[in-house]
Amino acid sequence: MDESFLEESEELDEKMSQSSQNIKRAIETVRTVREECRKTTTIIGDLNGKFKTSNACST
Amino acid sequence: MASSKLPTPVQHNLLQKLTEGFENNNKLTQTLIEEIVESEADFASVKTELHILRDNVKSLSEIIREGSGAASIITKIALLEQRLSVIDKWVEKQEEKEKENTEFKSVIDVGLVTIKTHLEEIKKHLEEIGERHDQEDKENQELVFEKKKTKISTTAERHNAIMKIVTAVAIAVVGLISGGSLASFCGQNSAKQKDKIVIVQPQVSASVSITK
Repeated sequence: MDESFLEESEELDEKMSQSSQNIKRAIETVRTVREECRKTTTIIGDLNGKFKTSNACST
Repeated sequence: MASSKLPTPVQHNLLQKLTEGFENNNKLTQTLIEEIVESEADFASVKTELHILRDNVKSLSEIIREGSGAASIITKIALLEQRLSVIDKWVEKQEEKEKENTEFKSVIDVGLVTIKTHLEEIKKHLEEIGERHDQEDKENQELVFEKKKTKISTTAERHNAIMKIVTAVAIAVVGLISGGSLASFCGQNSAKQKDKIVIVQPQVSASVSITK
């Protein structure tokens, strides 16, 4: 009974460790996506600003 | 019942580790959720900017396709292309004309050189002819002068001869009248030369030849 409990506990610990690593990778991925999202926002914002300037010049 | 049993120290230690692991995972999951929630704001910003970009592209497309109150950009580009083709043709024509002009100019240059050479030859000829005419004029003037001189001398000689004849006749008449025989005088001289009259007087004698 004790041995089986020990084995299950080790297995659970292993899975928990894997889960923890997966979550960390997910967090990193989300942070990377957010960073790229911010960069994209900046680029599109600049482009829209140029459109505004162009419209102001044309009018 | 097994649940009524207290865990051994080893089991307790393991359960404590598992509990810590769960707590750690819980914290990480919380962090992930927070990151995902925060990323929603970033995605919303991108979405907003993309909407603005879509509107801008739409208005730009309208300007390009339909124009905003004036001719569309496509129409303007088509007109510009037509004008550009006309300008290209004009430039090609000008280049051809320039080429023809260059060839014509080279031909004219050659012709001008030839004409210049001919003109120089004509000038030489004219100078030679002028010199010849001057020489001939000079010779003619000298000839005329000689003729006039000859004529004048001939006339003078004639005058002298006539005067001599008249003088001789007058002397003869005066001599005959004064004492000589006119008839014998005439008879003696008529037998001699027709164009030569010899008058023999005691004091005067004259010989005159008249050329016809």
